[in-house]
Amino acid sequence: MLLTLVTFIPLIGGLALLFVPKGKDDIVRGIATAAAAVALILSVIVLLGYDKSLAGMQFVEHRIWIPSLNVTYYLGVDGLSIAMLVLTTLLSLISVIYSYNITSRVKEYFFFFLLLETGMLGVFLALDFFLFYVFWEITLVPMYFLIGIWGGPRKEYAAIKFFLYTLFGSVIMLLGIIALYFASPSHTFNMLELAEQAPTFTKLFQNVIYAALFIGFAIKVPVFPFHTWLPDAHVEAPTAVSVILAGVLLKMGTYGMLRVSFSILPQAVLYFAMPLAVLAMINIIYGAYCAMAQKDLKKMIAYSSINHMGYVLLGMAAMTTAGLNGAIFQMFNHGIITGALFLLVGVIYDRAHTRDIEGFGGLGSIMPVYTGIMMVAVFASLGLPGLSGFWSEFMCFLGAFQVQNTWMKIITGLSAIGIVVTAAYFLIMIQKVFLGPANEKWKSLPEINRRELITVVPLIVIMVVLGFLPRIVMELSSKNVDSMVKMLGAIKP
Amino acid sequence: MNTVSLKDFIYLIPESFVLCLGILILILDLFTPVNIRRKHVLNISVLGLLLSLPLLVYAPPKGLILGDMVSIDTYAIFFKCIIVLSAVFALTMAKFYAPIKDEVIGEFSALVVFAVLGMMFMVSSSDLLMIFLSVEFVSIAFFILTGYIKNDPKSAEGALKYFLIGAFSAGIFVYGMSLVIISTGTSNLKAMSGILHAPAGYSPLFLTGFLLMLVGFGYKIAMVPFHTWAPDAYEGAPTPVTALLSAASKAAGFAVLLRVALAAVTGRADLVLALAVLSALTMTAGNLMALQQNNVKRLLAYSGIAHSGYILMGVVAACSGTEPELGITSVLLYAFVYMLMNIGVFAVIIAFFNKTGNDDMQSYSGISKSNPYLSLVLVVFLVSLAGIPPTAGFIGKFYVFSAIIKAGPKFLWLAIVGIMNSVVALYYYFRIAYFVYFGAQKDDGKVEITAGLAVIAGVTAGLALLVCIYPGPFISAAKVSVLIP
Repeated sequence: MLLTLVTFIPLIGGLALLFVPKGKDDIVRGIATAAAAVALILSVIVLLGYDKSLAGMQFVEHRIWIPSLNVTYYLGVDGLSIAMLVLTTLLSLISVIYSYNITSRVKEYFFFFLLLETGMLGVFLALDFFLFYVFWEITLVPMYFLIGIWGGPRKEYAAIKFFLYTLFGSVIMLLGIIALYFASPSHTFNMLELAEQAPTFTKLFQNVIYAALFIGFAIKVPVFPFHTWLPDAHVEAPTAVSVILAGVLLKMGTYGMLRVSFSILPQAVLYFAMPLAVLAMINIIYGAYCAMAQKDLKKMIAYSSINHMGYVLLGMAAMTTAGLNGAIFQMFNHGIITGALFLLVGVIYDRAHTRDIEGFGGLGSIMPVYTGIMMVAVFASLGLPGLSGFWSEFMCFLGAFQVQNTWMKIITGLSAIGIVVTAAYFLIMIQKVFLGPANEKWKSLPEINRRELITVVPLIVIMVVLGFLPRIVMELSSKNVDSMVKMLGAIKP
Repeated sequence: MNTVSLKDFIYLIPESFVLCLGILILILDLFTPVNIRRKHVLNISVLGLLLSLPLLVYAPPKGLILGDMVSIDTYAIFFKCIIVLSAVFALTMAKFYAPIKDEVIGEFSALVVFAVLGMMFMVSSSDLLMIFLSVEFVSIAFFILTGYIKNDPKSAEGALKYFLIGAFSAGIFVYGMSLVIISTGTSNLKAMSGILHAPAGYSPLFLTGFLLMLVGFGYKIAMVPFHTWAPDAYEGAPTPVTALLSAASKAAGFAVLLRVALAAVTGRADLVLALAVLSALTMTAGNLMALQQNNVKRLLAYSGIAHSGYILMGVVAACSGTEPELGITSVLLYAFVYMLMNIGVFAVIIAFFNKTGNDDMQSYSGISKSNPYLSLVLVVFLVSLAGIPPTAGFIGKFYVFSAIIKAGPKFLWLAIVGIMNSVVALYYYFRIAYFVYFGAQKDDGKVEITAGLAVIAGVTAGLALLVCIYPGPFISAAKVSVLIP
């Protein structure tokens, strides 16, 4: 029951607040916060009860849903999803609190937001492919409205572009799912059963299905060349929605690859490992250079997401213990760090109503607390040792370099350029925005306020703590990764 | 062959009941004062139609009766329920649709009831002659219904186009039918199926005749290239009639088409391919043209054409192999969910129309600010039409695509065309949402939604969600209704 509760508490909260009379916005905010908080608490209970020494599914719920199709309502957590579960509920609560500054159409905003949370949680917990797909698509509609109603100047364009792009990916994925269903001997959507039946799928079939699913997942990640929706959506979305978008939604793509492709289509994963590594390299380098070219702070962070998701892909393409653990850890870290960065960009935008990197200067003396926090987040993002980002990026690279393949080593080496460029653009940004003589125009900017601190500080604390104790998160996935590596190793020719 | 016997009429109790209802309404209409007609005559028709539902559901399926002309099977009953339900919804909508005046509301309801009767026979027909008679019966009723707002030139234009194209296609249909009867020596579907599946059963004469008949079916289900009447008729017709046209008339058309196709097309690779090509053309053309529309009713007409294309995929799947069950189930389910979401969306459109006075998307600008709930309901229908979970439209789409993928790799291209189309469709459905949610608010007038419309919108929206969240009963209903060819 616990997982069902976690998943649907936000939706119940969302439905409840529809009945709040008009004008009582504070009650709406209260209900939304309560729902998100309960979801977080429940997910922490799951985390505490989670047994790291097991590789199998835990907290399993398995019920018949549509008998004639053999569809089941099947939830469970394992090492791949537990970190994502907590990340989702944490970022959702933080985003809800940050969203107190939304003043127009409050009720609808929080309704869509909580619906989105349910969709995201469902994606990470579902173990039935049909259910997975339903949750996957449920995230689209609220996101469309969240960007389209409360977004920036080009919100309508960004909203529909996001919607069309991701729907395109997911309908192709749907064909793949249906084909898998009919190909499986027992006609099932059960992911674990499908994984067991993986040997019965021919190589060609696996490759075709992998390609179909990959389009769906790659658009979400986003993998170059499917990334063009991302800068638009991130820049136009309201701050809290950008946090969710970068922090959680992108992870659905890489999570899907791990959960589905890696376990159900192992042959194809081996076949496509090298192309995936190349795409990862492009993501890393291209994303970094694009970020460097940006004048808009938010757009820069958006492109840095493409860059950072590239590390995840690189770790996955390596298929080594270090690489896969690093990839999962990097998914978590990117959620925390980029979430914080988007919040911080939101803070400055709310005050200055501009995000032009060139237009600031010397904010360090005007908003010292804000500057300090921003520095920590930036350093975590560029992988400074002592902060969480370092470990995951290091492991992704380490894992990729361990592969006994010259091309893989070359790709990994080239990808390292991305790290340098990342450091460069972040440092340039810090120099332009926070250092130097204080810009007269911004003398009166108020310091970061309490609500904003409440939202950012927990994320900063996590970055620091995980910087020293990375094993807290790493341990969660290690058993699953071990069995996955073993499984992939066994079929290697 | 069974001979005609009076006993057979026992199995036609629901039909006889609806016939009596129609006559009763005509008589009542004569003796009821104008000012209470809207209330009473309409209520009686709605109630009568509702009463025919249990008759339909609980009457045991019998099989072929009346000299094999009519088949009372679960397949037909499933479609009859769709037809009756949509008529109930359409009549309830008509009550709150101002352009249909009090003076004519009695005849209007009688015509709807007669159209329902015709459609009930249509879906039961198992003989080409019976098919032709019932199709014409229905068409004539709809010609009049479409042109019901006499002083509106658009209504007249729609009716005239519907009529002219209908007359042409009926002529071609009869011609094709005659060729088919000559070549096979029978007009009965069951006998025909046997003859066709004997060696050398398909003569060139039959193929010509069948393709000509396809024109008639194509017209009925708004299949490209016989769809041109649909946008004008949908736009011009009173909105309740549009809802009925799109939900019931199309379902009935598909019921007949599938019945004939199962008898005549199954196993003929070239005919199946022809249907597949028509399906791809229909959905692509419908979607591409829908992109340009600003009038919501016109847009829904084109979207309806696209949906016909999706349902045709199910027909293709049903006819392509030896296992037609999944294909037939998908057609049944799709017809049902399409009825739900279309009725719902038209109910919302009527509510908006009563406020804004027209059906242009732009006039919906910002309407969600003062009507958050109604707009949310509209979003449910749009999401469903786009085939996105958690709505009925997704289940329909899922089944159709499952059926076509199960049919094997030879129709994978059709599945891909269909999938691409559903992305295109999203764009224009959400253009409506764009105006409703993102447009600048014109005034903060609240839409006065009458209780009846609210009930229709609420019930259909609830069902549209339920079909995805708890689809078991709906799927089993469709499964037991699968026609055994």
